Amino acid sequence: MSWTIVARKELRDVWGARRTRWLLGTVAFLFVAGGYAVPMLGPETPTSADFASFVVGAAALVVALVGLLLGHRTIVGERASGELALLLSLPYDRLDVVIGKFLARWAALGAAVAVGVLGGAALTNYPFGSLEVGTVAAYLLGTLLYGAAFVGIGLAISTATTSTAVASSAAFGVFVLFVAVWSQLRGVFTAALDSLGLANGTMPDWALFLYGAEPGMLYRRLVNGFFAGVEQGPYLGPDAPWYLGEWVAAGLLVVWALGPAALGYLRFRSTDL
Amino acid sequence: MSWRSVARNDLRGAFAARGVWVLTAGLLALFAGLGYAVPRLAGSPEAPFSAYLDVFVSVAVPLFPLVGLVLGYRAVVAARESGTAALALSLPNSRRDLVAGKLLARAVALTGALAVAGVAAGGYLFLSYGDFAAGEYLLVLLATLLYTLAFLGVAVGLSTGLASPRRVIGAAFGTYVLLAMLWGSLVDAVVIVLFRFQPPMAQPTWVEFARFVEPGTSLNYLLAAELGVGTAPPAAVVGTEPFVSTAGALTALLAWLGLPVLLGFVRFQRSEL
Repeated sequence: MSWTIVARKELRDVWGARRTRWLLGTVAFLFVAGGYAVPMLGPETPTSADFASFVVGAAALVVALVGLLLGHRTIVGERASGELALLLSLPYDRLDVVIGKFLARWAALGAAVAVGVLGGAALTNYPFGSLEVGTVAAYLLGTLLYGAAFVGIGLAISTATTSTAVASSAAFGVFVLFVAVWSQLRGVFTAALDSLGLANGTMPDWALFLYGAEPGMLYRRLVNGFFAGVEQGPYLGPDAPWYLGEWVAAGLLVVWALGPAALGYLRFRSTDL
Repeated sequence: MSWRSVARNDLRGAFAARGVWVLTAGLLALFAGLGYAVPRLAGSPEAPFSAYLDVFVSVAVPLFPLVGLVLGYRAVVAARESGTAALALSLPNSRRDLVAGKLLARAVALTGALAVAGVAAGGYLFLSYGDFAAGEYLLVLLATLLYTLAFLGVAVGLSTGLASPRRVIGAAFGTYVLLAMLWGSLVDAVVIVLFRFQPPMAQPTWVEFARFVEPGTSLNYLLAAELGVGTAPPAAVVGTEPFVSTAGALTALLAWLGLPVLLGFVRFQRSEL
């Protein structure tokens, strides 16, 4: 159980650095501000589900960014400075290090998200709206998984390289690809599939499944399907196959939350420091 | 049980340093001076004693918080700054003894000063007012004492919880401005912001509570409801909830005496001297 010691030290580091404190504060503030603004910009008597669908766009952006920023230097920074070799000369193995750091960073992000979501839900509830505990808990869980996905991606990047510059650029690349341009790529993919003769004008369902397996789209689909009650479009519409629905999206998000970190560990396990 | 020796020592210091004597003389001058001024300002030598009490309360409400704050703000932090606290704690005194002793000594000093000034001024008032009511006079003095003790509690709490005299002075000044001047406006501002700039017609219960527990309002309510002295805060301000009662007002004042000290002590307990 020595990963708990690594995790505790990591948490102290995260909280001790002013930069990460600001990042976490931004995340919490975003949700609280969203909860404050819902009754002014959204429906007159908002519910917790309204709160969730109100903040989901901004949350998808900021949680992804902060998750990547928290994750991408975790291991490579210590590896570059030699701290990692020192740490591993103590009785910790590499699994302890990866688990401890991943869980600590995720917990830090998760705490900020939890404070923000609960505060925002409370501000939605009082004085005009209402509070549904189940909805808030489910939304919080979904956001935590989404955050874990990006912390995990950052960690995987961090374990794969020995240079902090490479890690930073790769994290930036992931951010641009997933958060900024992914939603614009649909036409490109469709055209590519068309030219290969696999589609005619619209994507086939299997391609939609692959295209929609990006964390941001999964997260939005989760909120749209469970809370906003959207029942149209290629994913949530009445004639979409079951594997494009919100339950599968939730499952895929769990895979994203744990997969990248696990892959990162598998690669890190056998590399030379 | 060594808080007694701490208290005795603190009292001895207070008597030696003239502060208590100045306070007693000042209170006496205030009490008697008002007694002298009221009939002459009213324009008739037959001014009733209740007019004196009304004027006294309207002067005491803004003035006595300063007495409490000035008496208490140096209690612990001065000893901490000069190193006396470290010395006292190297003897078989615990931190709790230190704080309790200081609070008690200051409370006794305040009570003594108020009692001496009250009795001496009472003699003068007895001679100059035909309808001097000793019981009412005593109760007004007791209520005022409790009100001042509430601010003494705040000051000792700040003095215990904060590390440097400069911060304590700033916080004590801030407390005075907040509680004695801005409280109502601040509650209004919170309501307006929380209700997204559409303030409600009927005040929520917590707003009435927040207005009522402000020490000045509590004291005004207590005196007006029980003794008919001064003007009661209107029901439009403090409402008619069950907590708007004599017991509620007494509890609020006692809480202002106790809670800040407790919170300050919790911080003091954990801090490095």
